[in-house]
Amino acid sequence: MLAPVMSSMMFRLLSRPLRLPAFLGPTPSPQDPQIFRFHGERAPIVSDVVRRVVQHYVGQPQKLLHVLNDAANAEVRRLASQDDMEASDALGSWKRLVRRLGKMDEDERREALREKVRDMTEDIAGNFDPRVYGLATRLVPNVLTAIMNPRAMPQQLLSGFRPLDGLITTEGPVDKLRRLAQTGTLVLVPTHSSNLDSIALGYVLMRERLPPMVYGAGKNLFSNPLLSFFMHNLGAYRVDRRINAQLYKEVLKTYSCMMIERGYHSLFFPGGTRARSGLVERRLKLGLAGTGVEAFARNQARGITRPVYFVPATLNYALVLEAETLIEDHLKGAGQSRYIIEDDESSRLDRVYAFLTKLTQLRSAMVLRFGEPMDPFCNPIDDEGRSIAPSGNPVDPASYVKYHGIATVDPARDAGYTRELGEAIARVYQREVVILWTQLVAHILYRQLVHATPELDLFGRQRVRGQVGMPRAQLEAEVGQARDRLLDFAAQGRLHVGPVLRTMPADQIVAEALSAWSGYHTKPVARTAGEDVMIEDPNLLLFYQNRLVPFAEDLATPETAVAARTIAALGGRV
Amino acid sequence: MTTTGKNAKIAVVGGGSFGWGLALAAERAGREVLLWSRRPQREGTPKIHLASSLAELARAELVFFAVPSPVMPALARELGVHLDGAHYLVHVSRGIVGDELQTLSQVLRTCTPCRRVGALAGPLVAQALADGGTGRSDRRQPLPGGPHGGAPGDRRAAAADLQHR
Repeated sequence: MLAPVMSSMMFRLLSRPLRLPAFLGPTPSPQDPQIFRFHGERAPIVSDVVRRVVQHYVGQPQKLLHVLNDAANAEVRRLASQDDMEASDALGSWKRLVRRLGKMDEDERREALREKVRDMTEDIAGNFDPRVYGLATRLVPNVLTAIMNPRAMPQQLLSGFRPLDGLITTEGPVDKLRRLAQTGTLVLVPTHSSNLDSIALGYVLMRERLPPMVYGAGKNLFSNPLLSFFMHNLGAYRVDRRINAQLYKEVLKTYSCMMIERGYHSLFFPGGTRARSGLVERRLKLGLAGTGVEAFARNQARGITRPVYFVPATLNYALVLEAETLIEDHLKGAGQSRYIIEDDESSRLDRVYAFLTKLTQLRSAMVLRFGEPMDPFCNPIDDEGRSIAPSGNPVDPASYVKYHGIATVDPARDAGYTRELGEAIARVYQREVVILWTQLVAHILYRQLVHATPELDLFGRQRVRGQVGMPRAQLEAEVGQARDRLLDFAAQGRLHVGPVLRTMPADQIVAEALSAWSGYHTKPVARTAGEDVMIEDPNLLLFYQNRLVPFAEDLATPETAVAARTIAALGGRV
Repeated sequence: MTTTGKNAKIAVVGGGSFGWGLALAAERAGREVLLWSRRPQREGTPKIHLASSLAELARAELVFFAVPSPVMPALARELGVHLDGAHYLVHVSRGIVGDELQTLSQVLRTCTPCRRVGALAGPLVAQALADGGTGRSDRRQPLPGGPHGGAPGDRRAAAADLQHR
C-alpha cells in the first residue's frame, strides 16, 4: 500500500519543476530584459492565458462543446496508451469529463474548460530564475558538459576547461541585435538540425551578451531532473508534442503570443522539427513563431508600440550529433510518422559524450550565423530599429495592422502576413547558410558516387558501400576548385563560407573532413585505401552534402555536370 | 493625413480605358476618386479628380493600378515612396516582367512597402466597367441577386465591393 504512494510522491517531485522561493530573489533593475521579471509575473501570465482562451468560446456553445469533446477524446486515447504514473492521474479526470459533458449546461462546460486550460497552462509555463541564470553564466559550459558526463565534472571545474568556446563561431549583426533587444522584442528563428541546437544557442546568447530567451522545449527533454531544473529556470517552457488536442495547441499559441506581447524575447524553430535530410528548410509553417505577428497587432490595438523583430539564423554543424538517425529516417520517408524521435543519439549519453569529445578536437565545428532582422511584415530593420521600405525611407510597421486608420486584430489578415514571413525567412536561410568543410568534401565524394553509378536511383545508390572511390589527388583538386567557386559565390552574397574552408589548403580540408568523420560516426563515412578514398556510407555523405544541393550545378565540372544535375534535383524532395 | 473609412478616396493610377472604367465604377458607387495619368485625356467629373502628382494618391486607402505592365515597376517605385502598410493595392494588368520574371503582384510587393496586394481577374471589358455592364456580351441583362450577387469576376460586383469597403 505504501509503495505506490511513495513512488507517486517521488514521481511528482521529479516531474514537477523545482523552483527557488520567489521572495528570496533579487529585484530586477529596469534595464534588465523582461525575462528577469518572469518570476514575479508567472501567476498573472497564467491567469491571462486562461482568461483569453476561455473568452474565445464565450457565446459559442457549439464550439465550446466541440473543443471539450475533441480534447477529452484525444487525451483519453493518448493517456490510455501511455499508461504510466502521470497518465493514470489525468486519465481519470478526462474520463469523468467525457461522461458528464452531455449533461452539463453551458456554464458548467465553461468552468470545465477553464479548469483544463489552467492545468495545461501550468504544465506549459516555464520559469526564469536570475539566480540560476547567474550561476549558469559562471558554470556553463562546464555544467552542460557535466550534465552529459557527470564523472568528468570535478576535474573540468578545477581546470576551467571550456571546450565550447573555440568550437562555436558567431557571425552576423550581433551588436545591432544587442541594441534592438533594448527597444523591441526579438523573435529568434533559427534552422533546426540537432537537439543540441537550443543548448548551443543558449550558450551563444550568453557569450555574446544577448538577452536570454524563452523557448519551448520538448517535454521529453525535461525527463532528466538536473537538466530539467536548468531548462525550467532558464526560461524554457514545456511543449508536450504527444498531445494532439486542438485545445492544447490553442493554449500553447496563446501562451507564446502573450509572452511576446509582454516583451519576452522568444526563440522558435520554425521548421517545427529537426531537418531530417540535412537540407536547409525551404518551407516554413512558422507555427508558434507566427504568434509574433499576432502579438504585434494585439499590442498596437492596445496602444503599445514596442516593435517585434524577427531574427533568422542558421546553425551550421561540421558534425551533427543525430546525423545517422535523421538521414535514415529521411530515406525511409518516415519523417512524417516519426515526428518525435525518442531513441536517437541525443538520448544516449555515450553518443553525446563521443560527439562532444570529437567536437573539442575540431576548430569552429559550429557556426551560428545571425541574419539581418526584419519586422513582422518582411521589411528590413535599420540600426535605429526602424522598418525600412523598398524606397529606403522608414515605414511605420503599425500601418500594416491598421484598417481605416485604426489598429485591429484580424486573424485572417495576420495569417497572410505570417505566410509571407515564413517565405521571407526561408529565403534568408538560403542566403545565410554557412558552408563547412565536411559538407564540401561530402559533396565532392557524393558527386563522384552519382557520377560512377548513373544507372542507379537514389535508393539503389544508397546501398553502394565500399565499391566506389576516387584518387585522393583528384578529390583534393576538385575540393580546391569547388572551394574557390564557393568563395566567389560568397563574394556575390549568395552564401557564406566557414573559417576552415576560407583559410586552409585543399589537402588539409580533405584530411580534416576524413578525420572528423572517423572519430564520431559508428560507421566509417569514407576511408583511405592506398591512393584512393573509398565511399563507405552514402547515407551520411548524402546528409552532409545536402546543404550544397542548391549550388550543385554551379559547382560542377564539365565531367560531373550530369551528376550535379541529379544532385540538384534532390532539392525537390525536401 | 489619410482620410479613412467610408469617405476615403479611391485612387487610380493610369488614365487609359481601364483606369477610367475603374474610376467611373467607383464614382457610381458614390466614392470620391483621385485619378493620375501621365497624359489625362479627359476632364475630371464632380467625383473624379485629376491628381497633379502621384504623391497625392497616397491620401487614398485603396489604389488601383491600371497601367501597361512594362511601366508598372517604375510607377510602383515612384508611388511606393508615399505609401505605407495601410494601403491596399489592386492591379488589373497581366504579364511577367523583368529579368527575374516577376508577376505584377510580386512587383507591387517588392517595389512598394505594401503587403495587401491583389488583382482583378476575369473577363475584363473596359467598356463594361465604364458603363456598369456585366462584362458579358449581353451586358443589359440584370444581375442575379442584385448588386451583391453576380458572377465571380463581375465588374458590377467589384463596384459593389468598392462601396462596402
